[in-house]
Amino acid sequence: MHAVISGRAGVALLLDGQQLSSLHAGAGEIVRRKEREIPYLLGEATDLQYLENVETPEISRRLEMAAAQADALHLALILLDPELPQEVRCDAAGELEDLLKIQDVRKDVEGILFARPLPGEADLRGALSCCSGNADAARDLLIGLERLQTEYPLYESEKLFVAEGAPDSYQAGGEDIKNRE
Amino acid sequence: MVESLEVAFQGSKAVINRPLADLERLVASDRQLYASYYQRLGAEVQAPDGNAWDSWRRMADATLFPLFEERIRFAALSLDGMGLQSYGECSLVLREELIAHRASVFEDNSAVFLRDRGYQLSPGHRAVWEDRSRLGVAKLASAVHTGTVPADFPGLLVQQGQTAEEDRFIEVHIWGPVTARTCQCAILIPKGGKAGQAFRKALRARLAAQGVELEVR
Repeated sequence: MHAVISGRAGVALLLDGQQLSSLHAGAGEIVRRKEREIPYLLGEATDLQYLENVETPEISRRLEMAAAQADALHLALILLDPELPQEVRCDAAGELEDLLKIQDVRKDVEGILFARPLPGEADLRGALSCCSGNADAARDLLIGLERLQTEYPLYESEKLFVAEGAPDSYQAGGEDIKNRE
Repeated sequence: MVESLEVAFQGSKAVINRPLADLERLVASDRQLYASYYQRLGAEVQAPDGNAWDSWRRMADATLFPLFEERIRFAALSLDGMGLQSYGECSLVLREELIAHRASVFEDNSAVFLRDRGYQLSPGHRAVWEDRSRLGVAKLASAVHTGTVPADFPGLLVQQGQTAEEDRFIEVHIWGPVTARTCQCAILIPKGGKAGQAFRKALRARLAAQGVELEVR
């Protein structure tokens, strides 16, 4: 059997011969589907994983993991959003804490959040204040994120050193970093 | 009872169903738009069905909306706010005052209807928004019998099928843009996953910022 998994949509499409069906995160039932339902099952999700020659239990396990990873990232973004009420952000911290205890979830969220500087509107200080005493994993994630915000300019300058044939960019980037310092 | 049906249909609403992730994207900011099917294809954010539905859909749309099909958004007429679950677990109930002047209704799923009955459309299957109750009665009066009570009306108007092709409903055609602010409320039937309170509370807060209520059933 082949499968396409989206953690964001919380759904796996299963193709067994010519038979199409779906499996939803948090529900064990397999539902028969037609081709034209695919866009409505996946919506605008782009986090697609393609699995070949797998069985239902493996698809189910991979789907639950992908859904947990997508949920954790979503919760982290809720936690960082200054436009949301404090109560909602604190709930997000509590739920994120539970998901971050799963090792692969934590690695996945860090892999995405740590890849680039946070946008200016992200509220790290406010997010940290929402982490209660026992939200250690969520707090650690935010502290790691905060530390990286000061290190990104160094990474950027190193990237410019290895960039080929871009002396103008290098000069502009160098001045930019200098000004920030 | 048929008169009661007509009166009830005068209060019917246009409802668009989409997956939860699409609603979250729509409410993320004031600048997010709900694109039509053809606009999504043109922007290459959605692939065509890749089967016979592509031609049925295009032929029906060319018949009903010649040269302006890409401006049309589809919805279903509903009495209780519940739309077609085949298209997603979130029902977006549209504000009548923002669509009445640019909406019309059709007897059923136009792609299926025209495929089965031919593309030379006779009068009587389509109406302007203000006449939607008359179209509804013309379609459904024969389904009303002595045992029918008003509580049955929503289920007559929207009949959820096992697949989208089997859904029976009155299709609403809306010309022009739709945003979160076009919505009066959003009704969510959770499918599993994302069951946490934080997701719902965040969604409720973002919807409220755009004047939209969230109801979880």
